[in-house]
Amino acid sequence: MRQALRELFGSIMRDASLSCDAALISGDLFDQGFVSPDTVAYVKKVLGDFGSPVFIAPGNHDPYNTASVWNSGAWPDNVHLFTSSSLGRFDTEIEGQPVTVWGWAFTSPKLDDCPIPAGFTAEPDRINIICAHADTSSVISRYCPMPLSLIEGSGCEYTALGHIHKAPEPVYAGKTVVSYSGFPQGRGWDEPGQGRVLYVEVEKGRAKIRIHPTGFRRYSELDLDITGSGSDSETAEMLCAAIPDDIYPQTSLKVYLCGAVTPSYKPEPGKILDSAAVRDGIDIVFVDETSPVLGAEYLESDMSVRGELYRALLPRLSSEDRDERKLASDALRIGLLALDNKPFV
Amino acid sequence: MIIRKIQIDEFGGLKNVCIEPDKGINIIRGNNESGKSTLMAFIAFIFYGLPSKRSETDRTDRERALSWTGGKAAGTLEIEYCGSEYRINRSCVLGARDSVSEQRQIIDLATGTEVFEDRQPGEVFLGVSQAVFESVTTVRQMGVGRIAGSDLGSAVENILFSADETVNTERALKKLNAAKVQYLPQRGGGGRIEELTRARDILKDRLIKAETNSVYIISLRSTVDKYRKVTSELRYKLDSAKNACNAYDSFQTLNRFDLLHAGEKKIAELQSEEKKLIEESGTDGKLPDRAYVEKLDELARRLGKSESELAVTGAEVRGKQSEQSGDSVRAASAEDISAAGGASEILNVYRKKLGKSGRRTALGIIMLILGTVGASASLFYFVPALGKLIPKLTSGLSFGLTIAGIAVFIAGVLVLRSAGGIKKTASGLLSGYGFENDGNDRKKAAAFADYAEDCAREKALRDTWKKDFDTILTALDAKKRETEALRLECILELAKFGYCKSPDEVLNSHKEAPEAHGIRHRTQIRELTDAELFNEILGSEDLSEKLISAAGSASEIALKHEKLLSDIDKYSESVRASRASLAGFNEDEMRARLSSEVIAALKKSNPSALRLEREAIETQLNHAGSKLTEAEKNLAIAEHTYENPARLSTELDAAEDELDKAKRLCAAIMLAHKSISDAGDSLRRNITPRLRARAGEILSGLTGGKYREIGVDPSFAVTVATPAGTKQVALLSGGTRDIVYFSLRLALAELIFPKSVPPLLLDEAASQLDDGRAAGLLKLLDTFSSGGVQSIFFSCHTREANILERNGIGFTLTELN
Repeated sequence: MRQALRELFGSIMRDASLSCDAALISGDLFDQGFVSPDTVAYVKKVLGDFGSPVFIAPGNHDPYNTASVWNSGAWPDNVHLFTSSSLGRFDTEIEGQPVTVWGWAFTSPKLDDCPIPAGFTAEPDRINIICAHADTSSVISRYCPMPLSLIEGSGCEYTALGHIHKAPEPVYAGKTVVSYSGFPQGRGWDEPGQGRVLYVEVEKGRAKIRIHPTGFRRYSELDLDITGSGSDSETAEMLCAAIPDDIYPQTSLKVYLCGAVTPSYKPEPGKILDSAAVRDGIDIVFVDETSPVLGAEYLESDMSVRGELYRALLPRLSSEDRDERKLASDALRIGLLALDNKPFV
Repeated sequence: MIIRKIQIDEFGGLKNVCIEPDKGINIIRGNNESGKSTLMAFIAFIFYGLPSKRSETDRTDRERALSWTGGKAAGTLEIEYCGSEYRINRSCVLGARDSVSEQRQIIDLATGTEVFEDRQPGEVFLGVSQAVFESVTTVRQMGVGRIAGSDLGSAVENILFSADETVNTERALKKLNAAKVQYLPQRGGGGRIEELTRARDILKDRLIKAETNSVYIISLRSTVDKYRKVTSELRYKLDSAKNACNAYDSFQTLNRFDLLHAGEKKIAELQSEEKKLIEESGTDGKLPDRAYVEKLDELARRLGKSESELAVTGAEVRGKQSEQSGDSVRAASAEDISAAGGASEILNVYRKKLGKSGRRTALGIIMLILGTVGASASLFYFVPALGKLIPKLTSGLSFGLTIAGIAVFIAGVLVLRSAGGIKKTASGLLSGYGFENDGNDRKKAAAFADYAEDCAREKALRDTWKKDFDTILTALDAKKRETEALRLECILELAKFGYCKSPDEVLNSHKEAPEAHGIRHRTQIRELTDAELFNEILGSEDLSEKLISAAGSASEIALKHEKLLSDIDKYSESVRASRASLAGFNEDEMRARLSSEVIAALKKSNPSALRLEREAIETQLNHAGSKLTEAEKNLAIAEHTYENPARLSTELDAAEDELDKAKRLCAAIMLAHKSISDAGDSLRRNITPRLRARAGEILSGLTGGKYREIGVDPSFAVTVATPAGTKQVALLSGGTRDIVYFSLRLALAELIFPKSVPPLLLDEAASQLDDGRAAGLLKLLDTFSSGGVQSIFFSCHTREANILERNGIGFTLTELN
């Protein structure tokens, strides 16, 4: 997966080099504190090969400091890196037009204050762009809270933001277009859907965004009620019926198995997948949230220890807490199997 | 509950089977594979439907249930329940993909209407799960087997503590505990969770290390890159500096080549100058040198000295000559005398001669006498008369004597002559000195001696003068010769380099142009004397002055030549050294390489500055190189031990998941254990006493009060109160154990089915029993039936029917074909 992500980055930059005059990377290019040396070398090469200016604002996952990847030697000459948590700028000329790119860097995993001063006004004779890692969703965010009011009167044409992976729709702050780029490729179910980068046409007083889809894989979730299923093959049938026909061919699908099953049935993901005719490219992981209470009305009135076991666990089986319910379900299954002298591990 | 009618439309291998059991004991007899088990399964099917496909057993049962021909399971059960009669219809049809479509109905026979819609009959009429129903109401062969053995205790215990014969709470708890201990031992360390925790922690440490190492490697790589770049730049600079130094060296080398060529040119000039000098001032390709000059100087000095000495010597000679002393005549006489051996010798000889002369004279005389005498002998011969005077004198003898006398006479004459000669000689010895023979030899001798002495004295004087004079003369001659030789030598020496003609030149010129020299004929050409030669060569010039002049000139030339040679040597040495040092250099290539502009620039360069700069760059390069080497070494070490953090992170996530799963599982096991333990305690508190009490009642009823109570001792062993005391069930007879077992089964059934106890279904229950125990069992069933409990006995034997008949127990027999 990481190799594919690297290659995707290379592919995105190669595509961009064909039609873009600059690149804005608004933080978290590297998602972890550690980056393999090969990855660093690869990224440097890709950015260097891009040729045109690249402006980078380190984010909270890849802050700029002495031990960070940003300090791992020289970066290509076309890479302009913000290194301070104070507002900085790079002046350049693109297609004959003077352009100023404003920005800052996270120098630690947290940044409590936004560097943009109140009343900030950009250079009137230049095209002004802000490239930064910030959080517009909360004024008490610890990741550079940036109220839109700070840039409303700035006169900037465009603000390229990073931090919120599930990018909201672009908005206007005064005349400034503000947008989160999102993610080029989801890396988990917290980044569901299509990956993307933004191609932005910026002129004096105007910015126009075009979404450029990227990514080789999508993450998606599915709630599957398997009430009444008594076997993995039955569950597999239900699964196949529930998967939409138009599902993206390369999808990682998290299936939440829910509903009531008999206490003696515990869904086995491997066996379900073996029985399910799932297309290649669709990877499925299961989360078992079934409740082993199907037919449990018998257990409720069962005078034997089975019934006692069930009645003892019933309050937990109906708990609001998912973990509590899961624990009780597992305990009920295990208890019944143990009582039946069947293997339970 | 009483089953009134069993109607099988299709179920497994049975089709259109109808059985109407009675409310008491029912024997359904059939051969093996006649469908007895199928019949039992049908009853469960009507109440609970087809088993799901969830387990292999269930699938097997499901397949067994569906009709072998039509894939259908359908039938009806009519029951009496709590005073009402119901018909339960159920039909299952196998559909596509192994699916089953089911229809069921519960019909109230009194009203003919469907009741309890959408409810399972099992739930309505039994209120327990199929498993409970089967475990409580069904007695199979295996259950029977246990009755006979010690497992009865287990069955009874299970019923008491689990209210389920098949469930052993203690065993379940042990299994759960054993499983839990595997994950979480109570004492000491170990366990799966600890293993997984340790593995997780190790991975965490490795990840931290890998992250640190990754950062370190990134840092090292950047350091390596930095120093590589620095060293590359420094190498480039060093190359430039070296090139500059090399260019300057080349420039210097070219300068040296220029100097070399200048030197060669200079040598050529000097050699040309030398040649010219030789031509102008040399002879036979040679020039006068210092040695020649010194020679000339020396010759001049010597000549001067020699001439001076000659003059002095000449003067000495003249002086000496004028001092001539001593009588020359006498001196000459002295010489003669000396030549003759000296006066003494002369006198000696004179005397000897005189003496000899005298002796000879004497002798001569004697001889004459004798001779005469002898000769006179002849007279005797010739005069015979005389002969006779001497008789002995014979003729011979006389002849001999005559001869002899003659001889002697002659000899005497000779001797006298000789004596005269000798005397004459002796006189002559002195006469030469003026001493004539006057007969006084002695006086003469004395005078001669004086004369000789006198002569000797004169001679001595003269000799001394002569000696001195001769010496001086000799010296003069020698000096003359020396001077002449020296002059000749000077001439020759001068002639070497043309300062004068050489004797050969003069001679040759005489030969070549005799007329010029007044020689009329070639035959007149001769060797010139030294004087002539010198005259011809020098003329009126003074040889010494000539020498000095020549020496001066030669000195000049020699110095000039020496200077030239010295310069030539100097330049040659320099050129040689330059050539040697420039041996490996290709001048043409260097000139081609260094353009005039470059050379012009190099002229303005400071070589020291260039070298200093190169050295400085070399120092920097060495420093950077060692830094690079160190960084590369550290990088190699780090990369050798590098673990990919991304991979480790994935492993760590997996380890966390596994640990989490294990913890959850352990928690579930522990909760199950606790819950079962609590359930068991609850049962023992609530159900077990009731179960024991009711079972005790039933037991007492069945045994006529003989066995009244069923209990549990401190070790949880099931006991029975007997008249003889409390005994463990295992120690009782087989028949008693049967009664205890069935009492518990019935008590359990009453507890579980409080409304209406369903029929007991016995499948070959008595097959392992002897007739007595079988009879006992059947009697028990009869007792139960009097309490309203229906029992349906499935058997392939007729024995049970026979026993019932023999014991007068009423029953209903159905044959299955």
